[in-house]
Amino acid sequence: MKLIWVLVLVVCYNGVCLNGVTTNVTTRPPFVNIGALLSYNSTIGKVAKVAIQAAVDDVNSDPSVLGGTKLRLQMQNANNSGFLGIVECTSFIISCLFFSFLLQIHFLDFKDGL
Amino acid sequence: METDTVAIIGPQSSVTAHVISFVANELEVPLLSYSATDPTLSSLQFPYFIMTSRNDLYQMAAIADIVEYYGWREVIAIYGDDDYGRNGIAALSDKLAERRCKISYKAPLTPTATQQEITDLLVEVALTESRILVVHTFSRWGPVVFSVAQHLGMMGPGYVWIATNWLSTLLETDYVSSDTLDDIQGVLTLRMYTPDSELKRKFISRWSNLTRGTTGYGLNPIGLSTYGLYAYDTVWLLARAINAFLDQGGNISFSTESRLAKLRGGSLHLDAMNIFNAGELLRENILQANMTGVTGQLKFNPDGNLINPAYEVINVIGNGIRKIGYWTNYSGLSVVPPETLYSNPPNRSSSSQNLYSVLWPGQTAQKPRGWVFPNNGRQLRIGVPNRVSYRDFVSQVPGTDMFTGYCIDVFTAAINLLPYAVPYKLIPYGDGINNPSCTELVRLITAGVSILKQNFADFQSTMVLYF
Repeated sequence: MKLIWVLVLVVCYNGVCLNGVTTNVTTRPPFVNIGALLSYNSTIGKVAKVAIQAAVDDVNSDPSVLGGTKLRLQMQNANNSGFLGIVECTSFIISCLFFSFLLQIHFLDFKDGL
Repeated sequence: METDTVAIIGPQSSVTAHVISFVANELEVPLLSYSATDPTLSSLQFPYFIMTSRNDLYQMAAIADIVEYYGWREVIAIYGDDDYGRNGIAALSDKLAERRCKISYKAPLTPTATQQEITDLLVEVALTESRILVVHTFSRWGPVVFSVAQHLGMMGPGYVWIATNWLSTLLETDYVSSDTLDDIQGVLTLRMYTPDSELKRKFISRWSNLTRGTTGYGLNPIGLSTYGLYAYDTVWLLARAINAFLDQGGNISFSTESRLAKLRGGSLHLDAMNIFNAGELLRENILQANMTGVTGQLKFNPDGNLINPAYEVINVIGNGIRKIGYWTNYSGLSVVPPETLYSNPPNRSSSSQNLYSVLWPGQTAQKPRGWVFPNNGRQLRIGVPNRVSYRDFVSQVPGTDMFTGYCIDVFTAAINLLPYAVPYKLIPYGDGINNPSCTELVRLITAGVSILKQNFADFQSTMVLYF
């Protein structure tokens, strides 16, 4: 459990968490955020990075696909080593995802005596 | 809130996918991964994890079909002991069991295995009976297994090496040195099958422009692997799903985790977590996708896997690869392209299974038998009558365990012709004063057959006959 709390601190230190408010969009938004998580220097990742970027460009250059809405890609490099890769991601998404994951572990801890 | 994402492409590795999937469930953010293919990720536990390429379950079924097709029974699995490797091999075990085959020896390695660890492991493997080795890992040590095997003489005649699609991916993506190519001659590997199409050809011809200035290995640009095609289609699949979602009035809004709200304000900054309110609707739209991309038709089965899983079966020969056939979930092994098969009724009968000829390790076209008498196993025990007459045929050298005679000479000459070692032990039968009953010897041996393999038993019967 100690290790996990240390990791929480790492994530918080990155200071990437936003305030929680609810946003409602009723019409087609000008853009939609999507994330991508890959290891740039791996055999699969270096190919996928090019392919994903090309696909996003292709989608965005064709207004018929999303009716004018554009994809906004947040691509994150994660190294291949599982846990470490996640901690190293300083992006909003991943930090928060990871954060919540830790929390879940914490809850399970109480629930099941993990 | 501007940076909240409605979906994530990835994660790339199955290990990370397991971790993130828990979170994606909570935040209702779909994950679309083209490369995390661990079969357990498609379990009901992870509804927000969507596999946008081929589940390894099918790759393992393909390998099991190959093993069955060549009449082998037992395989050795060499794999990285992480979620990807372990769960893939568990699926292989299931698929082999369905064909009355099995994994006789599991050889796990750490994801960061060193050359020494690989050497130690392969020495163990060489002592065992099976000569069918399946290598399943995306760790960097994958190619090292073959160079160590080459060094240990395990890339020679008699061995069969089957690498999952990590090897074909490596060959597609990077320039491979001639040393590495030498090490993998005769290896079988699989590649996710994507049908030829105008879209695919166009993308392939664009690839050199897209990768200009990049370097794969050395000065060569990055090659386009099948994963690249699936990654490209994954974005399109998501874009179309988002479009359908918006058409249905889907609202892109996020809310904080109410269950955690009471903890807000603490040092944990729990207010950072936002749930995608319409995540379920987007997820449904993704799973209802039906589009044609560079990888062909993309449509999900009710079990969440893409339809029509198929692989190419590849033999590494010379400077390149040779396609020896296809595997489809529809009709098993075939030399006919999958599209042709889909227009016919499915045919899994053993007579319909077919692959082109393979050049096996050691440059041999002869199908390896797939097993040897293990050096670490029991010796072949041969009952020899200790006779008092016809001693020219067989007789014990007085005071030793050794035997001489015509029968023994024939036996040793025959055993020397075999392309592998047969450890054996001659066990005298009879008191050396009276001729022993050969009928009784045969009875004793046949009574013990149940503890021996069929192959041993046939051999032994023959032995006794000409004594």
